[in-house]
Amino acid sequence: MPDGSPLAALRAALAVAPAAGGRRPSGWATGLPALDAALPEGRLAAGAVHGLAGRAAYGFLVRLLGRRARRVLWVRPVGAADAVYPHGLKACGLDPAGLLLVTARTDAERLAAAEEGLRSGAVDAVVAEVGGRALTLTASRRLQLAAQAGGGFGFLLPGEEAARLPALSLASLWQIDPRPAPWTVAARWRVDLARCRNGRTGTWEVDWDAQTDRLAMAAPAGDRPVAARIAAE
Amino acid sequence: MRHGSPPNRPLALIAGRGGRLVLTAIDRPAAAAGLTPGMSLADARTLCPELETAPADPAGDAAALRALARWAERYTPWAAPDGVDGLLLDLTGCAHLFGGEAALLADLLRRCRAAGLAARGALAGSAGAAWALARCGETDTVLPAGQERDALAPLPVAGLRLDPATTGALERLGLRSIGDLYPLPRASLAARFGAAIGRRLDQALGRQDEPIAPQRPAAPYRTRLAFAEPIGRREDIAAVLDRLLAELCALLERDGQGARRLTLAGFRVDHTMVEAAIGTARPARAPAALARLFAERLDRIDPGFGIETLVLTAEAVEPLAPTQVALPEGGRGQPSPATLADLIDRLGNRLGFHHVTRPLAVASHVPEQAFRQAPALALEADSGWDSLPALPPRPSRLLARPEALEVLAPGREAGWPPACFRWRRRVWHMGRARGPERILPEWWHGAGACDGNENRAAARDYWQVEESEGERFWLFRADPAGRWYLHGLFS
Repeated sequence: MPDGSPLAALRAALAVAPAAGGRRPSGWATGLPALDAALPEGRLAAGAVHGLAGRAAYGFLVRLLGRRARRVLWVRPVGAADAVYPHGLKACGLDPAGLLLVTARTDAERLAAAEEGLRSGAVDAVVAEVGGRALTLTASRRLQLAAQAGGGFGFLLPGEEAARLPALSLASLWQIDPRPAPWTVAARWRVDLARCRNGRTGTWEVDWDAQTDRLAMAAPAGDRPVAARIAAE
Repeated sequence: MRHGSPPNRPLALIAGRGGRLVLTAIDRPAAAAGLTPGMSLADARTLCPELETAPADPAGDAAALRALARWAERYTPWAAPDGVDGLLLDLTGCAHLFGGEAALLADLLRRCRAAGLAARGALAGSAGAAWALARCGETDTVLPAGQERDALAPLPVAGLRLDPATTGALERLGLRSIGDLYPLPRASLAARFGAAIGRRLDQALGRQDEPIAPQRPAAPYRTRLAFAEPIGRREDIAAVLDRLLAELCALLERDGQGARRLTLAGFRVDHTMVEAAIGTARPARAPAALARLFAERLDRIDPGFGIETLVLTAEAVEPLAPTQVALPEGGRGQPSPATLADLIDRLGNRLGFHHVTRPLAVASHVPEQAFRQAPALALEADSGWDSLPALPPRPSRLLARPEALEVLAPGREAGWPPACFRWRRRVWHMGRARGPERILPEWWHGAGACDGNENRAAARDYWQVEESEGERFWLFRADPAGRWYLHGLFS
């Protein structure tokens, strides 16, 4: 799509619309040009709610938050089989000192807590492990409005494949699955941007370099049968 | 109190005691029929076949008594439950507000009786004398000071607040009234019945002070508002609350204090009360923020037939330095700790403060003991994460308890993680593995701490394992015998 086309102009006009009421929120660039090009204004929109699905959603999110978010509100179910492990977060660059953990019994309580956190603007990002029947279009819309009011990032971990989620009001929806990689690579993901408001969808295979905290396109390796399916850029 | 049944049938409360049912309390018709508390139900039914019974509820009674004591704080702040069925009020300096001692007592008893309580009451110069008069003497008596000795003389010794054994022993000796004890030498009374009897006698006669411990310490930070017309709408209550909060916060500000716990008590026209309480993570005295915390609680205030008085009390306060009036917040770069504390307060009040936590570092080698969740009261305090030594890679998720794996195919070499295993009803094939990292428990933990073998048995060999699809696990083998556990997830 060449720049300057009527469609691009229309997109630009639409992109401004959500932020028109308040201050212009900034966003987070992932640092990978191919991926950023698919996002509106080359950034993951702030003041918005993003959904992360797939088996590696958790790891991808933690590394996204690391070194970017100072204060994170993490809303979890009570008595989950797994715990957020602060030593692991620290290794990903997320300072556990800025982590506020909230546990709530029901999905409705978790949604309300996440909404409260997003609206307050007191934290950079709110992570909500909410799924199931309570996650409706209305619920996601409420979160979205709260995020707009507070200006922070909202991240939903529905614990479900992106394709099986109902229609939700999300700025973006990602499906992240792990890929095998040598130990020199901290993590390799198949990143599928399934939905993106004011952006494009696409699929990439990316590596995370823990030392430099950078994303890079995964190098096709000999032990993988098919080279990464990379969106044409 | 009796509800709905014909008023003349005798009623008794019963409770199981030592394998049989006994009466714990009776009403006037039952007493007239010759029943006494402590009698077994079988005996009572023989005497009074039409006896109506209800199970006793001591906890409920105690709660009701406490509520009554709080209601009685309308007369004096020094009101306390006394035993299981009484109230003790210190009216020093309060009576003139209600038109004198006699008028106060009459008003108190009238209100109690209007609420359906069979109340007896007396007012005297000492707690002991009032107790004896209320329970054994004539009710509604106001005893002028200095007349305790004469007034108490005809009353039975049961009026002295002695234990039943002592009372029984006195009665067996023919010492039936309190007056009978006056001429007896104190030393021999004490030798025979213990020191309590002399003390109780002195207390009743006003020779020995007896402080009343009020139900709770009177909070100095308290504001109240009474209404000419009872209010009931939520908006009205919220508006009154705003006024009370503004007053209270001004008091707190004057003294450099901040509230940690606030209670809003509503006194209803039918002599009952409702309460709503909030807590804060740090001392606070911003009326708007406190009103927000109360907002969700106001739904639980049921005004009933209307609320005539609202009392706002700061139950717990802590020093809070005067703050400089802040400039309007600029960009979003640095969220102020105040808004974060607000958020913690709101979440804590809704979900319970133990559900709002932050991780603290704990100096331990054992992965699951190397952190703990502490209440998020002060987020800016040092949590110990900066001073940690660098560790080998750690997973971002740790299972609450390690989950045993079902090994389907052994590892490539002895001691290697299994090539194929079942976890959570799924079969996983191992791709890459790296390790081991041996983690020993602290030697001062565990039963076999002094024994080298025991120690080795508790050691864990941790491996990072990548299964064929790319998911990375943290496995360990608990002992040389080789049970494998999954403990964490990297992805």
